[in-house]
Amino acid sequence: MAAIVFVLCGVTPEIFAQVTGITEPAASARFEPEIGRLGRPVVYRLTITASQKPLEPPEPPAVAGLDVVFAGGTVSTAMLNGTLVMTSTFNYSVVSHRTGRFTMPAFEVAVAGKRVRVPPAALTAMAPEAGEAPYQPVRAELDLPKRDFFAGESIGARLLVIETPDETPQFVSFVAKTTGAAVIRPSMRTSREQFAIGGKQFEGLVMPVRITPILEGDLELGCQVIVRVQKLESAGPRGMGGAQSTVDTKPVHIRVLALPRVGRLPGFTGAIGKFTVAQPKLSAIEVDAGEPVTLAITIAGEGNLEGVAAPENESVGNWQIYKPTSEFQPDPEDHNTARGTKTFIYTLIPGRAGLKATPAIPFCYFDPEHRSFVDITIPPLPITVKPSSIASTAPVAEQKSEPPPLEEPPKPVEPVMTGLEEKPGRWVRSLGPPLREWWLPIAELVPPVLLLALWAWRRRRDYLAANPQIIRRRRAHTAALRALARARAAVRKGDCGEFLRASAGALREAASPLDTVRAKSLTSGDVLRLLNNDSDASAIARKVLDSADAADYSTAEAGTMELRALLPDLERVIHTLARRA
Amino acid sequence: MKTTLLPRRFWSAAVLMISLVLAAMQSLHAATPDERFLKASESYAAGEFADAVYELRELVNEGNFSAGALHNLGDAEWKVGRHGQAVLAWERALSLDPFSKNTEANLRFARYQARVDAPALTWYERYSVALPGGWWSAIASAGLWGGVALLTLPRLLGWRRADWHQGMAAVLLAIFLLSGPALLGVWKRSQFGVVLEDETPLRLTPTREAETLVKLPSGEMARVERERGEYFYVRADGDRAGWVRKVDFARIWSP
Repeated sequence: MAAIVFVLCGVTPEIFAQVTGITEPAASARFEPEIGRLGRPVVYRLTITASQKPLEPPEPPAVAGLDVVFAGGTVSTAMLNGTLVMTSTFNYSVVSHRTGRFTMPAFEVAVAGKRVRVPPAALTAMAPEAGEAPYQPVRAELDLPKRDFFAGESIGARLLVIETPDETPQFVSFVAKTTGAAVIRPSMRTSREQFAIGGKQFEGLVMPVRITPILEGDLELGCQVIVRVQKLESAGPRGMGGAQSTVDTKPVHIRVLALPRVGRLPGFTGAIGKFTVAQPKLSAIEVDAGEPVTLAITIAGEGNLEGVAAPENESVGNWQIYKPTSEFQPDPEDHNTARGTKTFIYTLIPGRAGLKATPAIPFCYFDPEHRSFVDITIPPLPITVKPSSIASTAPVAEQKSEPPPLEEPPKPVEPVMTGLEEKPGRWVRSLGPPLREWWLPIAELVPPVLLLALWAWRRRRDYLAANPQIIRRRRAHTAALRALARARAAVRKGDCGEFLRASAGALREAASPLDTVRAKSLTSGDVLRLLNNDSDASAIARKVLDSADAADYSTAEAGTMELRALLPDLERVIHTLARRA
Repeated sequence: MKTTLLPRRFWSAAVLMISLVLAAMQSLHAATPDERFLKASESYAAGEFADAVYELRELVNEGNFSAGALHNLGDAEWKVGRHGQAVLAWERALSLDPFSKNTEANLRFARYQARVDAPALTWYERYSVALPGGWWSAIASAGLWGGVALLTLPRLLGWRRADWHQGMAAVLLAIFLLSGPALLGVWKRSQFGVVLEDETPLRLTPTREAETLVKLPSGEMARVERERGEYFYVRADGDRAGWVRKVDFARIWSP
C-alpha cells in the first residue's frame, strides 16, 4: 500500500494531495549571508514546502538597488508523519549597487493551486573594507595578429575569456559581433589555457575565431559573448551553480586595406592567404575529339579558401571548358576551418584531334603577409586527343558551330579607376555656369541696348534728312554765337576793326536761316530787310554794318571804340534774329 | 686710416634685400597653378596621396578650377579613403569637361564600389549634360541676339536686304529655342550635391536630435530643395527626402 502511495505521490501529486488531504504549503526566504559587501553577490534562498513543487521558479519582486538573477534550485522529498513532503529550494544571485539595508518584500507564490505567502527578508550591504578589491566579473578580449589586414582576408584570431578571482568561465554559449564591418565566425571548440596579455599571465577560455573584414578603412571590432560562469567567494566555490553572464569585448582597432590593383595577375578570384596547388589529375590521358575529360585540381592552404571561386575560362584554343564544380574539405585538426583543401573539377572537351596538352588555367592568390600576388597557374597536362570515332571527318569549326549552352552569361567587366590627367586644362575661376552671376543680366542687356541706340540714331538721322532747315538753323546759331564771342574778345583787346567785322559776321550768320543764301552772301540790305519790323534793331544793325563796311573799304583808321557800347544791343539783335529763325 | 667706399651695413642690407626679392620672385614663380598641379601629380605618383590632396585642395580653395586638377583631386581623395570627396571632385571635373572619358569611368568605378546608382536625370537634364553649362548660356545669348540683330541691322544700317540674312536669323533663333531646355536642365542640375560622409543620416527635421529616416552612403547624389540654418533639405533617388547637415553634403556647383 505504501508503495502504491509512493508511486502516486511521484506521478500525480495533485491526486495524492486530494486523497491524503495534506497540509497547507509553507514558504521561507532569507539572504545568505544577511550582511554582504557592495557589488559582491549574495544568495537569496527561497524554500517552499508543499505536496508538490511550483511549476515555474518564483519571480521575486524588484527591489531598487538590487540585481536579482535566478541561479538554479533543488527539490527534495521526505516522509513526514507518513506523508510525502516536497521541499523546493530556489537560489537567486543578488548584487547590491549601493550600501544600506534592503528588504525583499513578502510576495505570493502559486503552488498546487494555492497561494503561498513568502515572508520578507532583509539584506544589509556594507561598503568594501579598505584594500578590498571590487568585484571582478569575467572579461573578454579579441586577440588578433599585429599587422594590417586586407578586405576579404580570413584572419585567424582568438577570443579570450579571462578568469578573475571572483568568476571562472565555464563555457561560451554564444558569440555575436557588435561593431565593425566584418564577419566573425567563432569555433565551437574552446579550451582552457594560460595566455599572456600585455605581458601579464592570465588563465581562461580560448576560442578560435575567424574574422573577415568586409570594407577597407580603419575598423573597430567588438563582439558580445554569453558565458556560463561560476561565481566564487573568498571561502571557495559556493556550490550554488553557475550563472549566465554577458560580456562585451574591449574594442580592437585594425586597419583594413584594399587589395592592391598593381601587380594583380590573371585568374585572381579573391583567394587571400597561402595556398599550394597539388598535381592536377586527368580522368583520362587519351580521349577522342569531342569527348569530355575531367580535370581535378586540389588547392590546399590557409585562408579564405572555403569562399574562393574557381578560375573560369570558357574557351581556350581548341578546348571548351565548363564551369567547374567545387568541394571544400576543412582540416580536421583545425578548429576553425581556416585550413583545408578545395577541389575544383573541370570538364574539358577537346575540339579537334591532335591536341597534345590541356590548356593552362590562370590562377593566383594574394599573400597578405608579403602583400603580393602569387601565381599558381594550373599547368598544362599531357594528353592525346584522337580523331572522333563518330564524326572523324567533321572539322573543328563545325563541331564548334553548335557549342553547348553555357550555364551562366558572361560577367560584366568590373570598372576600374583611371590614372591621372597629365595636363590641368583651362583654369577658370568659377565652377558652375554663370546663371547666378551678377554680371550675367548686365551682359544680356548690352545687345538690346546697342540695338535700341542704333534704332534711335537711325530715326533721328531720317528726321534731320527730312528737315534740313533744323541743321541750317543750328549751324547758323552756332556760327553767330562764335562770331559774337570773337566780338567780345575784340572789345576786351580794344581792336575796333575786329569788333566790327565779328559783329557784322554775327548778324549775317544769325540772319542766314531766314533767307535761302549762305551767310557770307547776305548784304547789309538783306539783313536790314529781315529786321524791318523792328526799328530799334534795324538802327543798331545798320550802324554796325555800315561801320563794318566803312572799316573794310576805307583806308582811314576804324572808328573809335565807343562802338563797344553797341555790344549789349548787338547781342539782343542777334537773339531776336535767332528767335525769328 | 683705412677707408671704404660704402659702409659694411649697407652691403649687408643690400644682400638681404636682394635675397628677399629673389625669394619673393621664386615663391611667385612656384605659386602658378600649373606648377602646383605638376607638384601634386608627382606626390601622387610617389604614393604620397595625402600630399597630393593637400596641394590640389589648396588650388581649388583659392578658386583655381580646371578639369584636370579636379580629376586628379578625385583620384587622390579616393586613395586616401574619402570617397564622398572623390565623387564630388569628379562630378565637378565632369561639369567643366563633359567629354572626359576618364572622369566618367572614375565615377562609374566609384558608384560600382559604393553600390550606388547614378542619379536619375530628366530628359532636359540629360540633354544639358552634352555641353558645359556655361556654353549653353553663351549659345542661347548668341542665338537670340544674333538672330534679332540679323533681322534688324540691315534695316537700321541701310543695307540691302539679302536672303541669307533671313536664313541665318532663322537658324540662330532656332538655336536659341533649342538651347532653352538645356538651360532649364542646367538650372535643375545646379541643385545637385554629393553626400560626403558615409552613413550620413537623413533626418526628419533640421535638428540634431531629429529622427533618422535613412542613412545615405558617401558619394550618393541628391537634389537640394531648400535649406535652413545648418541643414539642407535634400531628395535622393527613390524619393528619399530629409534634412542633412551642410557639413555632410556639398553642392557640385557651390553657390
